[in-house]
Amino acid sequence: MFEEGLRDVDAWAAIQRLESAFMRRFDLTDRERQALERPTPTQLAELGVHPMLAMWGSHMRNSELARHMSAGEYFAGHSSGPGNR
Amino acid sequence: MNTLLATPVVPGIGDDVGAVIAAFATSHVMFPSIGVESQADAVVEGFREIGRLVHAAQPDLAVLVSSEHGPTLLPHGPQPPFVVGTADSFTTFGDMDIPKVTVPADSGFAKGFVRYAGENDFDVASLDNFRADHGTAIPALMAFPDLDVPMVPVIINAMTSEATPSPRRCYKLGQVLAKYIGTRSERVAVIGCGGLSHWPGRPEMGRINEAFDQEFLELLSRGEGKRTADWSNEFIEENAGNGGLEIRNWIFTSAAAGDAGGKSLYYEPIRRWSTGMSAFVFET
Repeated sequence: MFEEGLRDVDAWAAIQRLESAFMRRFDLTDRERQALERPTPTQLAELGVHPMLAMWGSHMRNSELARHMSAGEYFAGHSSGPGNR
Repeated sequence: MNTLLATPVVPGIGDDVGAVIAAFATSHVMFPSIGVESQADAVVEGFREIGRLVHAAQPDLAVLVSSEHGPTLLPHGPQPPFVVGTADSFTTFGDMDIPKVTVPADSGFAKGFVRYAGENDFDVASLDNFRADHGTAIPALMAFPDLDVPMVPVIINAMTSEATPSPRRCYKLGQVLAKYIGTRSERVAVIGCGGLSHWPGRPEMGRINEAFDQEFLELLSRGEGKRTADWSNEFIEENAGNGGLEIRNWIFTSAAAGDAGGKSLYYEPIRRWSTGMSAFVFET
C-alpha cells in the first residue's frame, strides 16, 4: 500500500484520507487498520513493514510527525515553493 | 596496457581538466530547526560552504553520490546495487516539503560512466526517470540553490540487505569513477551524501553513535578511507545503523578523491533529528 503511495500521488492522497474505496483493495488486519490511524515508524516496523516504508507510511498518515520531519523552512525563499508530500 | 587507466587522479580542489577537481561529503537530511537552532545553522552553513567551494573550483558538473529511499526504486524491487541517473535532468520528489524542481544533469557523462564501469567489472544500472527524494534533493538544493551546476546522481543501495554493496565495492567503484573522469574533458566535483549514524524506521531510532562517527571522520581526515573499505556492512549497521550504511557514499567519494584526507566542516549529533550530522572537505 505504501509503495503505491510512493508511485502515485493520488494513492498518496487516498492513504492520507484512508479513503474506503482505496483501503478495500488491501487485506488488512484489525491491528494494521488500528496502526494506520496515527502511525509511527516504530509501530509500522513492528508490523513487519520495511523500515523505509515505515517512515513513508508515517509521513502519509501522521501529520504531526510529517511536520516534525519537514525541511520546508530551509526552502522558504525558493522560487518554486515547497513540495507537497 | 590501457593508458586510460593510468591517468592520474588529482584529488581535492585543483585546476586540472579531466580530474576530480573537488570532493566533499555531507549528511543529506534536515528537520525543523526549532530547539536546535545553532546545530541547524552549522548544517546549513556546511551545505553553503560546499556550494561556495564547488563554485570556486569552476566545475562543469558535480556527481552526487547518495541513497534512494523508495520513490524511484521501490523497496520490493528492482533494487540494483548501483544506479546512475542518465537523463539530461531529473526531478525532485517533493518529500519533506522540499521544492519540486527540475535539476540539470549530464546525460553524456552519465551514460559514459555506466559504459566505462561495465568495462571495469561493474555492471551499473542506468535510469532516465529518477525522482530525487531528500537524499539527493537536499544536498542539491542546499548547496546549489540556483541549480547552476549540472548534477549527475549516483545511487548506492541501502534499502535491501541482499543488494547492498560492500564498502569495498563502493570504494572500488569510486576509484573507477576517478579513472573515468581522467578520460573526460569535464571538470568534475564529487559529493558523497548521507549518514552519519542513524537508525530510521528501526526500534533504535533516535540513537546516535558519536564515537563511531568521530572515528570515521578521523580516518577520512587522515586519508585512510581505504581502511573503512575493509569494514563489512554488518559492522557499519551494528555501529551506525541502517542509515549509517550511507557512509559508503563517503567511502566511495574518498576513493574518488584518492584518499586525499581533509577536514570536517562540522560534526553535530542532533538528537532531535536522530542523526549524527557532518560535512567534510577532501583536501588537495
